[in-house]
Amino acid sequence: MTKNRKKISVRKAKKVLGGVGLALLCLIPLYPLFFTFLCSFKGTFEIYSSSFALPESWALINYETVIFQARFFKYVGNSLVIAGGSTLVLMIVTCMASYALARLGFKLNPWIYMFFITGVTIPVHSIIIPLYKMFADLNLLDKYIPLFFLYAAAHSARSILIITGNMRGISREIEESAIIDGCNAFQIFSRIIVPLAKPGVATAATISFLYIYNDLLFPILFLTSRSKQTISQGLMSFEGEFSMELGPIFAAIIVCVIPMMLLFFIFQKQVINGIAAGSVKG
Amino acid sequence: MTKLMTKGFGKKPLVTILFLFPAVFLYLIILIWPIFQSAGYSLFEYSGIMNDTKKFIGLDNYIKMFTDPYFKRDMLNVLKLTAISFIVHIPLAFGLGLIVSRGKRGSNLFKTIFFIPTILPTAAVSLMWKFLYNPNWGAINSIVRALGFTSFNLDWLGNRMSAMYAVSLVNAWVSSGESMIIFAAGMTGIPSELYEAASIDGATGLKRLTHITIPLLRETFRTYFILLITGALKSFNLIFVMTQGGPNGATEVPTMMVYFNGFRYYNYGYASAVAFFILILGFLISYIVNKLIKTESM
Repeated sequence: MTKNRKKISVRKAKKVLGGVGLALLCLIPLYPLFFTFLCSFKGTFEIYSSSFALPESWALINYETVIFQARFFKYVGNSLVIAGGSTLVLMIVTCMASYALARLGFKLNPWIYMFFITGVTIPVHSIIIPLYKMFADLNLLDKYIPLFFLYAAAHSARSILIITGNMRGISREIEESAIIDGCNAFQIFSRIIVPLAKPGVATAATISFLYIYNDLLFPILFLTSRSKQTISQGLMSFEGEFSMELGPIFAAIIVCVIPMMLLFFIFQKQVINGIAAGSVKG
Repeated sequence: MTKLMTKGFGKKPLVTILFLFPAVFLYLIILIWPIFQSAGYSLFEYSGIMNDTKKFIGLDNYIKMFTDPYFKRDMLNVLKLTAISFIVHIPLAFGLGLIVSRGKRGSNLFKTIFFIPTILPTAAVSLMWKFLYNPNWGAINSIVRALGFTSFNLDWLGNRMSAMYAVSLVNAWVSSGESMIIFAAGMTGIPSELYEAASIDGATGLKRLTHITIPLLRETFRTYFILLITGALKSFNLIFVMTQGGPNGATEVPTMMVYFNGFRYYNYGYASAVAFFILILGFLISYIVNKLIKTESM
């Protein structure tokens, strides 16, 4: 009897210890963000003297500097437009290709599929020189629309991988009855296949949006005028200009991070699945 | 009859081509064509500045590359980055995967929390860590001092000895979510009957790991090795924001050499040679790792 009770209490203690251990582990991803959050309310002197403590006051002055003086909402807006536009182009193009690859029995399909999938492994940095040259020669620098297509191409491999996988799982019968009803390939694509492949499309779209919003390399290369730059570029130049004032920089980091945190908490499953799908084939 | 009709679209290659065309076209001109261009530029002396003429110099750029001490330094840096990644990432990823794949209460929350670093903008993360590493008021040194390790009160990113380690740790922090998912996926794929049978045979925790989990994760390890090596070879953004390759080139990697040679020193030819080399090396390593681990399993 008592032995049993002891066993149970040992098990309980182990469980509690395990829980505490896990909670402590969670400090690794969370603490840096928490530190940044606290510093975003502090003045520069306060950061120098007591970066660890809670802020003396929760004044929003740093955020006012970031939003009104440095116009960070403009940068966030630019990034959202670029990520949104690129994702839209990407989805149109890759849904079409995935439909052909998954549902239409074309002789070359396996080859074309392989051709796309190897693309996951192309390091973008190894082609930036000719890409930049191409864009400069065609006078496409500092414009959003060409950038949409650039991102669409760069992210098409992962997207095709995810959406094709999803479309392959759709049963033939639905498609066949649509053919009997006289639908053509385009109607079947837009009214049946794409709606049924929504989970895959959502995953591919979310993850691409996230990667494009977070990207730094293409904006540095292709967007030169200040008014068109992305949040990441804004953050970097802000750091250069405000290097003497730390509080606003911390606030700027928080502003930069918030949209992606929101996106992640809303579309958690899609984000995690999308990253997993992309890396397993990478 | 109906089957014939479904196949009917396939028999009209025109429809298929129409659907495939936009993606294939974009892919070809934006990703594939530049690879050939890169290979082409690498054979020329070319500044890339408007109206400048290209001068064919054969393999001179490659000869220059293999004798360039900066290239050697950058390659050694990548090797160092890869080595640190192997030592730090694999146990971390394995451990996190183990925790998450058990599917106990709270493991979903745990998964979410560890995924946060992966989804944040690189610029923000890099800047944040640059401050955490600040020698005077950064969080890292405050902790180091509080624990009494005063000899480790370093300028982590500004010191040639520690900079690469500091950068690699941030890299591990960022990719921990992704790594965790890869391992968790592999681990949940292992049939639970195997563990049950093992526990009947009296196998305990560590034995279960070495006899079941690790051997059955061969596929996962292979994927992850390739991901680590090619990831190190591709790394740019994080280091670029944190150190710009400094101090004195201690964290410069070949991708930065491409960037600096191309866009700061206007040396397109040489930059293209380095770029093309990175591309081929990446493919080659993926191929070799694939072959190595595949033959072992047979």
